[in-house]
Amino acid sequence: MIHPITDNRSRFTAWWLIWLTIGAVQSLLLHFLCDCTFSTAVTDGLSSALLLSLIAIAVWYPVTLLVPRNSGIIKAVSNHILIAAIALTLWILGVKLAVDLINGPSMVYDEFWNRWLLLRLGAGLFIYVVIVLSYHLMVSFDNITKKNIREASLEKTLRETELMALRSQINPHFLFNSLNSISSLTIDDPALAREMIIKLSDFMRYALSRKEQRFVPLLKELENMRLYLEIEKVRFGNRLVCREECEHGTHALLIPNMILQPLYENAVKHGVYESTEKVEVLVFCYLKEAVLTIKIENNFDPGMISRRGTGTGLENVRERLRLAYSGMASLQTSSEQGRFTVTLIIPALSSQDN
Amino acid sequence: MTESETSIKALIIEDEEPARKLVRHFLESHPIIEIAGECADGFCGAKLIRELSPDLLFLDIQMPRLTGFELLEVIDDRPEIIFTTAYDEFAIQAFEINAVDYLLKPFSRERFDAAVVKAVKKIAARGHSGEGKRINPDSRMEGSMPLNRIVIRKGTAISFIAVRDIEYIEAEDDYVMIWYPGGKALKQQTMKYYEENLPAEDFVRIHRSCIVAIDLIERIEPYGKETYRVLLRGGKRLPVSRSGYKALKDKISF
Repeated sequence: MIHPITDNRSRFTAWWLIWLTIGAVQSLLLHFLCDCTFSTAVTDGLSSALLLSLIAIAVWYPVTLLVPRNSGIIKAVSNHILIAAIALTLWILGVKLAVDLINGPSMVYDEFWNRWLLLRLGAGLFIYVVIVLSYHLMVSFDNITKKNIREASLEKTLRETELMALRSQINPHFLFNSLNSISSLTIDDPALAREMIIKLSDFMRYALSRKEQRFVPLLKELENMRLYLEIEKVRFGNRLVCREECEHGTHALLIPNMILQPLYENAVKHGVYESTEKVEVLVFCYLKEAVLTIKIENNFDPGMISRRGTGTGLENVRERLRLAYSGMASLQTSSEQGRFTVTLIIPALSSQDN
Repeated sequence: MTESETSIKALIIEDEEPARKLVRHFLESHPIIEIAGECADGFCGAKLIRELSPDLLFLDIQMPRLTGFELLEVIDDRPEIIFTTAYDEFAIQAFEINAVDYLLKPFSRERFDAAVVKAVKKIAARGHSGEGKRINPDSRMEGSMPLNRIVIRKGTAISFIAVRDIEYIEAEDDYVMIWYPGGKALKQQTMKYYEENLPAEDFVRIHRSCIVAIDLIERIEPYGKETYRVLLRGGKRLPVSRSGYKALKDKISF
């Protein structure tokens, strides 16, 4: 942290003006009230002000650097007392030495010095404490500002992550290709076009509203995935075959919403987009010992070198599972003999648990 | 329409029936264009192009088996092309290979008509000035899919080389020779293209005329004065230029 006085030109000037004033006032007081000679009064007043101001500038460093934060009140206070004792001793000795050196040793001054020493120390201590407290105030104010900035940037990052997650959920090409199919359907099947628009709207509404409810019943998620597959079926006709087998009792269980979307999309992408053959997308859900298993299978052409598969879709799902279940859920994939399987294993939650 | 205008032979290569239907429908108002055939995937498309030598393609990019761009790499006489796709990220690539137009799905009839008019003009002009030259794109778009397979053709058979199987690539005039475990294949493409698009962590350009898979390098040996060559697993030796030596050093830090 930069020094609040020396690193700011106008403050630095004001600082010296203040200390010059203090020095001058002290000199006048000494001369007129305490009967010191003019030269003694000026030497005493100015040297005392000069020394104290230098000490005050220097003490910034131990206050911000040496006094360790969070190290307990006792340690902090004892550190402060030690620093204050050193600083004030230096100050007192310095002033005495300066006056003796400049004006020569004098019995009168020595007597005056001894009589007012305690008051002098008290005044010095008071000024010292005021300065240290202001330093502490500055440091904490600075810390709060920094903390606010950090929090703001953290929140921004979080929101961006969420947005990115949302973006990666729905492939924009799916949307544009579906709209193109609708455009084609309007040629001679406006009724089907209308039906498609409604399906696409329902699907998009569900996908975009996911912020409000983090967990939804499996049935709702499955219904939405049926919409997705029906839309894709219009595009790919009978090349896409879907089957869903879910055990009784699994429908009411809760899962994070839109968690299945990337898995279905994956199945369609690697199956239908890459193949000219019929592609089956099979979904199984079953419940065993408070664990819900959802399996999504598709066949693909194993002879092809896939152009896709950066794996970001699956990675996203894994990350969401990790956040939602803190390590209690898993996602496995296997690929053999032209059949790709994604297995999602999550704790069975019902709406009462939540 | 004058007598001299002969009809234009067009193919629709597109994997979705509704999308093909839309193109057919829009083409009804352009009787000069005759739809010679339709295909739902790239392999079939390449075969039809060979058989029918069309003047114009309505070409999708994302298709099963062979993408639109890969298809263009395996045909000899390239027709004029109108891309029809939902992906906006391939527009620059399309521009680089001199496509007539790039229609983003869903497109309007006006937009489609404009593309067809442009294509008709271009084909008419080509008729006077001979065949259009084929150009393969030199660069790929940032954000497009990473290059992980290369399509090759032997006679009429089309197949792929997985990028991870490539051993090395050598320049041969306007072509490159790609060596892989099963043999070698000639491609009309530049070294620069492969240098930029092969995964940088797996391949290194050791010479103006050679790119090699880093994993295959057995050792680097001195060869004459201040020059080197690499020995590959399997015994093949390839020359290393001075800049190639520097690139090698940067990548495998020996």
